[in-house]
Amino acid sequence: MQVSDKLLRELVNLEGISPQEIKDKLCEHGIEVTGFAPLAEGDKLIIAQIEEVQNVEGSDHLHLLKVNEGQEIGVVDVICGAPNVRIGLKVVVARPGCNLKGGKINEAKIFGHTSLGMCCSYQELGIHHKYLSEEESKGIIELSDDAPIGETEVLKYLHLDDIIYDVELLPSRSYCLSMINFAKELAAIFEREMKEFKFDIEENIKNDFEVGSLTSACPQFAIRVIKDVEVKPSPAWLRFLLVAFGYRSINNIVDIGNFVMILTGQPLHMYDLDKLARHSLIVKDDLKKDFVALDENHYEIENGDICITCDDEIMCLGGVMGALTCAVDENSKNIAIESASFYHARIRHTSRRLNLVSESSMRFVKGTNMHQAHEVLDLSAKLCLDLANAKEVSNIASYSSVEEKKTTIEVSLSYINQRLATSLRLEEVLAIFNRLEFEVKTSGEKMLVTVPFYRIDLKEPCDLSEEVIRFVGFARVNEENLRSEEHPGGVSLEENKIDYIRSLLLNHGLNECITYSLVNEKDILKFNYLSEGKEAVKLLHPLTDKHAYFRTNLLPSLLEVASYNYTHQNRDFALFEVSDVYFDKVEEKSSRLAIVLVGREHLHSALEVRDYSYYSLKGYLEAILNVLNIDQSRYAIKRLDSTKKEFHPGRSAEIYLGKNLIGVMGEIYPNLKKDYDFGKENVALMELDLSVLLEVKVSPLAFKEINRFPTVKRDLALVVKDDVSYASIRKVIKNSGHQLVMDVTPFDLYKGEHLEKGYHSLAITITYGDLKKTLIDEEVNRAENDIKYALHKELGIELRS
Amino acid sequence: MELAEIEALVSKIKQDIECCECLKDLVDVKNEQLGKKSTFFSVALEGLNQMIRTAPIEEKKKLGALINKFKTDVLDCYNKKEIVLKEKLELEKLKEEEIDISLPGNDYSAGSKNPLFVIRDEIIKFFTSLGYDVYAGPEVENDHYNFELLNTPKDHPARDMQDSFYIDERTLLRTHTSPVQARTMLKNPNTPIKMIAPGKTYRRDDDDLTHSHQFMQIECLVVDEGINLAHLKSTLEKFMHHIFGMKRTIKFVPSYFPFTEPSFEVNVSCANCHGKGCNMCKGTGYIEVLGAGMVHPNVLRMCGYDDTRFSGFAFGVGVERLAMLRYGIDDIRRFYQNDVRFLKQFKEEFRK
Repeated sequence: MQVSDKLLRELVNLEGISPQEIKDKLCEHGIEVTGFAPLAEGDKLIIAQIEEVQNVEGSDHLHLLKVNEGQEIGVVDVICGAPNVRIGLKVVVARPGCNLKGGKINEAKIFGHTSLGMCCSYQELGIHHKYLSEEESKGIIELSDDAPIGETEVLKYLHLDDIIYDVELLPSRSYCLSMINFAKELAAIFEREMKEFKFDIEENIKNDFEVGSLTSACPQFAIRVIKDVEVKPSPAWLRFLLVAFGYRSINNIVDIGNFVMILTGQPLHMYDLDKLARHSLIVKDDLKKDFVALDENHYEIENGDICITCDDEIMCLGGVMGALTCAVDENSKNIAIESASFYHARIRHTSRRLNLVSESSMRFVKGTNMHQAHEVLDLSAKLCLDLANAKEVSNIASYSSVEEKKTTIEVSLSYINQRLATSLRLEEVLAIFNRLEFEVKTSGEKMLVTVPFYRIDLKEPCDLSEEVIRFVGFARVNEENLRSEEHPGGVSLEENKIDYIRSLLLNHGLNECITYSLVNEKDILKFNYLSEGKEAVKLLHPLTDKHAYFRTNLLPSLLEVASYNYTHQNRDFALFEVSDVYFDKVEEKSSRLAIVLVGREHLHSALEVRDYSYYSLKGYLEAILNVLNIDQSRYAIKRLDSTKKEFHPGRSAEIYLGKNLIGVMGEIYPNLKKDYDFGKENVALMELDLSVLLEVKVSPLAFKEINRFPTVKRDLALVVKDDVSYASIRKVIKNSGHQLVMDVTPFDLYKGEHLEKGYHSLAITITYGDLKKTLIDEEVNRAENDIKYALHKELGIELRS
Repeated sequence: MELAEIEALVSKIKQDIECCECLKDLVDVKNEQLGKKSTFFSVALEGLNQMIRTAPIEEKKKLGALINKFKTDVLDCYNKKEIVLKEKLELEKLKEEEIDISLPGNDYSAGSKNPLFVIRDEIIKFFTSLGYDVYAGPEVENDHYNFELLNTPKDHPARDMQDSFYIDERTLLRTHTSPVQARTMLKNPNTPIKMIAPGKTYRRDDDDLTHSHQFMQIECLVVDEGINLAHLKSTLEKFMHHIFGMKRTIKFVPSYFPFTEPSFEVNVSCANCHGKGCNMCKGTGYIEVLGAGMVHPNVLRMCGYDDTRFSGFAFGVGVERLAMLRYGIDDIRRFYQNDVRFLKQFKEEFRK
């Protein structure tokens, strides 16, 4: 919101207080002023009269002017390119050395002539062209004939000597949308007096309007008739005052409406009296019909929209826009001015639905003072008399169901001091309430506080505590620490486990990412193994297609991050993310971990590296299970059987815990690499459903006896058919080794020359042992022979000699 | 053979041993001169033995001692030389095994957390050490928790401040972590609470330098009998000093939130100018960091608390904002880009 310094100073005595002080103090008191700037600039301006106009040779539009700058300076040459120069015109000249918004004016040589300054347009003084007429935008300022030549206080003369504050009003301070209330805040802050402006309105005709409201959404409605108005341009003071507030001047009647709204916060509506069928305005909210507004557009009116009607014809969509049929225009003579109150939620609903958000509707949405119709209509009448030569003013016809009772709040000094942790005395609090024009009845430390009508934000004792703290300042809050209790705070068990998993991965060199939860429709379907069959949460009104759905899987997002990194020259990196995903019902969620590995793992710089592969992922998986104390025997893997061509079919797996699918992992499908610009790089991906993992119950740790007897290690070299898995070999060995097999470790894997196609060679070390005694060779030999026999019989495995 | 000759022979052998430069030479000397058939044994010692046989009784003892002396002399000399040469050989061998100690070590460095997690984890650690509980709430939230219970009924003007991503009429992506306040209070009404709730939040903002449609917030709520503004102040002071360092001063400016009354904006003195005013803080000397206030009695009542007995304070802080201020990050989108070169710059700092 823009606020005029000049208007504030008209309303409250702010003598000796600078705009900077006003800004600082307002900020301290909860009204944020982000800055202030002059409405117009020009420090060396003078009013002058053009005495001669000559064409400049060599230019098609420049003129050499002789301008009279008064007795002190005399007549000087000024080159001017404006089309509206003429002899006798009084103009504003920026003299050499004058600082304007666009820069400094200097003596200049143009086409051989010396120009001692510049004739100014409004834009050159800093007024935006949106506030100007077409002629004003094109040419220099045309002053009236009575403008005093030689006058140097030009901005003041033009009513441009104003400063604009940029104010960001919080919702609780919307009463300050009224400049009278804004001024009252300043009066309270600086302990200054409001300026009196009193006037009497002589009502010389009778108001014969029938007014009423058939809806509680319009609790108050008042009309005043004003006759014989003269619609014409507003005087310059009003015009530029409105500019300071960001309004373009239209004509005196429209401007009066806006000016009254700026002053009182009350939006007005004006009807052309002669276009109303009958002097009857009844407010209804049960109409369903087409409505032509004064913007000439048609709108569908629905049940609930507040309509001001005359014989069931809509004359105005309350608080939003008037009807075309009774709009005030430049030919209007007699008008009816409305000051009404509408329920904020209804206005919000109607204005949003019809996309008709205006200054008026915005004010109704934020709430207006329902008790000031008379003051508002008196002010309107006064301005019509002064600025539109109105002849006749009626009394006010009004309907009101509003109780004329101010809000009274009971509060005690101890409540305030307790809540604020202050040690204020009663007099201090009373002084603040007094400054704020609250009426207070005290009884001991109890206060019965009656607040002005316009303070619609105040309802409860805690609201009054806020008024106190913003006036006494935070420095008055005592020092007091929160007493500490014996309560072991902390994170939930799940969060704790997740933290351990994160630490594990971080310590293995993986980097932790955070990506957007909202994704596009296509991403929902990618790498969708863990959420298959579940509906994704879809936004009703997404900002962009890129962020339209709540993701159900992390891998697509993390893969994008990996791709971004790879295309930005990062090589050999490992990423992970832990995040919740949500499905189409509130609180149906799942906690996920995704890992993306790109390139090679560096063991020793680039001297020793290892390709990221399926086995890297399996290693992280097993380490995670280990961190959670989940025995490796509790999970199972199955080859990923999918036609989606996302994972390498021979190097990927589904991960199961019992019957639950808890994850997928594997190397990326080679052809998919180019979609993500990975070139020929190794890319390995895993997504785990942590929700299931974190809930796995594990038995408490208990000490197990360490084998006191020596063990025996024997190596075997096996020739294995390619479709025989290591897991099955291990199982056969465990089962056929006379319960003596303590451990099986693969140490060499070979495929290629010297071997039949379809076979590979696997070398393993078997550790034999017995917890109860020292093994003798013969026992080991017997176990080994049975293992060899079983491997051959069950898996067709031959021994390598 | 004369005794003198023998003595000369012994000293020559010792000299030969001394002259050996490697173990092989030493072995050669041993083979040539100390073997059974070498001159030392066959000539010198044999000579001495003969002398003993022919010598008178009193001389015999003397000569015997002499033989032993010659033997141990030579052997001592030999053994000492052998140790020296073995050590020399060992050093030569180790010299060959020498490596370039300036090459980098094996890669054991840990990965990095996104700075948002660095700060979040740090805040969790700080508050849990003060006895706070950490709670999470759903990101897809019912508007009853997100707005209504937080004193923001439908058509409340404050709802204009946070345009939200709705899923259906009643469900939206939470616009703040504050609904966790309501959820926590409703669980055990009229019992004291000290909690924080970190989490992701969403607003209908276009992404640019300072806006993000997704961001991370941490909510704090303390409810008990007699909680007042001083408790909020001291808690926030400790918190801000922990995050930004002891040198920073904190300023409270009146503000508005529907769920607190009074409400404040908490500003921290600018790191650049320490409150004097500079370009970084737009001349104000302070930088807005978070919103706070005393819990509105309506919120307490709606969540089942007796507001005549209980009072509370609450605040909410944007983690992106803290991270941007602390590390001087200028673009909020960086957090969600996850460039490895960006991530690698951040980790826990050890500060007091």
